[in-house]
Amino acid sequence: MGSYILRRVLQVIPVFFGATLLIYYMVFAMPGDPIAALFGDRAPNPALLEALRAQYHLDEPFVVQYFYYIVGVFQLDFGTSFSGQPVIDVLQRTFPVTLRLAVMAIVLSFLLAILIGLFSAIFKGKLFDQLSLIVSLVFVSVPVFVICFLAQYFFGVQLGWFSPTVGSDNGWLGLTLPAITLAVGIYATSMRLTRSSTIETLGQDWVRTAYSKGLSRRRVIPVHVLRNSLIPMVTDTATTFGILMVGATVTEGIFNVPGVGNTLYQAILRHEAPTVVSFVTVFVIAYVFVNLLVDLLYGLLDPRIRYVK
Amino acid sequence: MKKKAGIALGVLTAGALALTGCAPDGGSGNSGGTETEFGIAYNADGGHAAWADAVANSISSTLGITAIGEPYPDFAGLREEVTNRTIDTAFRTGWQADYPGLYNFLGPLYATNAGSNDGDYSNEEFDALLAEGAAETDLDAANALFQQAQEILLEDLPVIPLWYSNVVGGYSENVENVEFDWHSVAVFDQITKADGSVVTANGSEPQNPLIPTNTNETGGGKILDAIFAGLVKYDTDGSAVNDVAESITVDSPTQLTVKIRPGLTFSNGEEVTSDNFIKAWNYGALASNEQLSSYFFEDIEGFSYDEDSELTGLVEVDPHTFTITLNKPAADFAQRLGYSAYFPLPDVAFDDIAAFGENPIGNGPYKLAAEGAWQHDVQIDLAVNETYDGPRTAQNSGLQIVFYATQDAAYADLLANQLDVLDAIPDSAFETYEDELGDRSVNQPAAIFQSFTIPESLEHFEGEEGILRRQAISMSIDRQQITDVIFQGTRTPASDFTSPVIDGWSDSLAGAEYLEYNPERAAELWAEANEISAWE
Repeated sequence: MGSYILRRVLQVIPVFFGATLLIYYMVFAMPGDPIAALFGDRAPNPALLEALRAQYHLDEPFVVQYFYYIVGVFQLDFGTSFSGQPVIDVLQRTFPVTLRLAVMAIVLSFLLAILIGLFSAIFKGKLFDQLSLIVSLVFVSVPVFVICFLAQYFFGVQLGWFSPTVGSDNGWLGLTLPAITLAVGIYATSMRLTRSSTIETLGQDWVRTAYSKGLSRRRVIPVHVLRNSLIPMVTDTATTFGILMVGATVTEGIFNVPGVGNTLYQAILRHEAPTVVSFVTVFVIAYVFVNLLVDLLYGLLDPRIRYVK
Repeated sequence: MKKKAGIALGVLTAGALALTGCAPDGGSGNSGGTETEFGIAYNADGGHAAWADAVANSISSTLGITAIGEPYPDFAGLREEVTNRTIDTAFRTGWQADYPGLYNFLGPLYATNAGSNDGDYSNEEFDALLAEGAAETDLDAANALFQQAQEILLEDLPVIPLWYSNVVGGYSENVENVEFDWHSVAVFDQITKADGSVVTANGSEPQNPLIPTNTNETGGGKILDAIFAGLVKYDTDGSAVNDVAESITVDSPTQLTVKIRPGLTFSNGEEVTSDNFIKAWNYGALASNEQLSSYFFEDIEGFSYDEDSELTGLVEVDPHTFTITLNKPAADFAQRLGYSAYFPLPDVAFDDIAAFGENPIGNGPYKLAAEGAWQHDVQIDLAVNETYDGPRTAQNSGLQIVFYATQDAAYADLLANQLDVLDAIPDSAFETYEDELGDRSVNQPAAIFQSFTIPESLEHFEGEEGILRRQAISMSIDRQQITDVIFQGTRTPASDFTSPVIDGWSDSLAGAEYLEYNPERAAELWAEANEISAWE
C-alpha cells in the first residue's frame, strides 16, 4: 500500500513537466502580442514596447522563457501578472473560493442523488421513479447558463432571497445560490448513476440471500445495497469535483464569483503565460491527487479491487 | 486612449474560443480566380460580430460585391496583424478620447506617421491644417481649423466612420443626482443617497498598479479619478474647469504657466506643490520606468523614448508656480491636464512605488478607506477625503467600486438595488432596460468613435480609385438602421470623426453627406471607380 501511494505521488513529476511545457507552449503559440494589446487601440512607441517585452522575457525564444518560469517555480516564485501581482497571491486568493463552491455543490448534489436515486431504484417504475426521472431529464438538458440566469433573476432580483451576485461576500453562506445551481447541473447524472447501479445490485443473488436469511429491509438497503452501489458514484463524483476545481467559468461569471474560472478566463484573454500555466499546473496536480484518493476509496468500498502488489 | 477592460461579453463561449488559437483564414486577398472579397476584420471577443456582419451585408447588397465580416479570435491577435501591417482586409478601429478636445480625435490617428495611424493615411494639406490649429492659442479659432482638416478627411475617408457609442447606464432607487460625464463615468461626488450609506458603482479589476502614469484602462482610471485631483477637471459638457490649479496661462503655443492654489494637501497631510507635479511627470516620462501612459509627456521639452532624460521643459518658479515648455506647438495642452497621467504624486510614492500602487495616497475627493482597501478581483472601498478642497467635494459618505467579470452580473445587481450606479448596461438588456429602469435609465452619446479602417496599401484603395471606392462603401452603409436594429438605439450614427460631447463638434461639415446612406450615389461612385480599374 505504502509503495503504491509513493509510486502514484512520483507520477506527479512527469505530469508536472509535461503539463507545464504543453500549456506554456500553447500560450506562447497564441497569435497576437500581449504587450501591444496592453495599449488598446493606440499603437505603443517601439522603444517602450521592446522594453516591456524584455521585462517579461517575451523577446526570448520559447525554451528560454519556459526555463525562466520553471526555475522560478522551484524557488516558489510563480511569476507575476501584467498587473504586477505575484501569481502565487492570485492562486491563494481564488482557489479557496472555488474550493468552497465546488465542495458545497458536490455535497449537495451527492446527498440528493443518493437519496433520490436509491428510492427511485426501490420504487422502480412507480410514480416517484417516473417523476424523478423526468426532473433529472429536465436538469440534464437545460444548459447551465439558463439555470443560472433563471435562478439569479427569480431568487436574486425578483424575490430578493439572495444577493444576485457574490463579490466580496464569498464565504460559505454567500455562495449558496451559485452552489445550488451548480449542484442542479451535476445532480442528474449522479442520480441516474445511483439508480441504475442500485437496480443492478438489488437483483444480485446475495441480496435475495440476505432477505431470505430474515434480514430486514432497513438493514439490507443501507448496509449492503448502498455500499455496493456507491462505487460508480465515487468515480463520477471525483471526476466532477476535478472539473469543478478548474472553475465553473460560466457560473462564476454570471454570479460574479471571484474564483479561478473567472481569473483564468481573463488571464487567457490577456495571454498572461505565468498566470495561465500556474493555474493549470495546480489543476493537474489537484486532479492527480483526487484520482489517487478515489483509487484508495475503492479499496475501502470493495476489498476485491484493493490494490495488490 | 483608455481601453475598455476585457469585460467578458462571451459568457456563453467562455473558454471555448480561448485556447484554440486558430487564426482566421487568409482574409480577402486575391485567392486565385475567385471574386475579390471585401473583408472587415474584427476581434470575436468584443461582441462585434453582429454589426460587422450587418455592415458587410449593407455593402454587399448596395454595391453587388461580396463583403464579409472576418472574425479574429481575440483583440491581441487582430492588433498584431494591424501593427505589423500584415493585415490584408479592412479592420475595425475605435477611439475613446483621453480629454475632450477635437485634436485628440485627429492628431494621433490621421497625421502622417502618427502613432495610431493604422491605415498609413497621409495628406499634406490635412497635416498643415492640423499643425496650424495646434499653434493657435484661441480655442475657437483652433477648432475652426480642426474642422477644416476634418472636411479633408470626409473627402478622403482614411477610415469609414460608423457611429458614436453612447453611455448606456442606470441607477438604483436609493440614489439621486446621478449624471454621467463626457467620458461615460458617473459624476460620483455629486450623487446623494438618502440612507447615508456608501454609494456602490460598477468597475473592473485594475490591470495595473494604481499609479496614474501606468494606468491606461478604464478599470484603474475610474478609481484614480476619484482619489486624485488634477490641475483641471472636466465638466459634464467636456469643458475644463480649474481644480488644483488657480490659473493656467498659455503664454505662447509652446509655453504655459501653471499656478497652484496654496494650502491644498494630499490625504496624508503633505502639501501639494509644484514639485509634486514635476516629480510625478518626470517619473511617468522616464524611459526606464516603462510607464504605459508615457506618451502624454512626449510633447514636453526633454522627453525621450529611447533613453532616460529629464523633462527640462518643467521648471519650478516657486512652490506654487511652474512653467511648462513644449517641444512643438500644442495649444490644447492646457485642455489635456485633467487626464489621470497628469495627476501629482506625494513624495512618499517614490520611496516604494510598488507599495504605493497597492495603497495609493491622493489629493482627490475620495481616499482609500483603509490600508488594503483594494480587494483584488472583488472591490475597492473609498472613503470621503475630508482634506479635499475643490469643485468636486463629495455629497455622499463614500464610494465602493465593485469589480464585475460580466456586465450581466452588474445589471442583475442594479435591478435588485444592490448596486447604485451602472455605466454599462449589457447588450443583452438593450431591449428591456428602459422598461425595467424607467426614468433611472441613461442613454447619451459618449466620447467614443467607432469606425473601420481601410488601409492605404489595400489593393483598389489607393489614389483616385481608392477615394471613389471609400466614398461608395461609406454611402452604402445604412447606419441608422444598424444602430436601431442591432444596437437598439444605443449608438448614434456618426457625422464626423470626433464625438458630439466634444467642444467644437459639428454635424454639418462639408462632406458629411458621404456618411449618409445613399445607395444610388454609392453605386454610381463604385461604377466610376470600376472604370479606373475593374474590381474583379
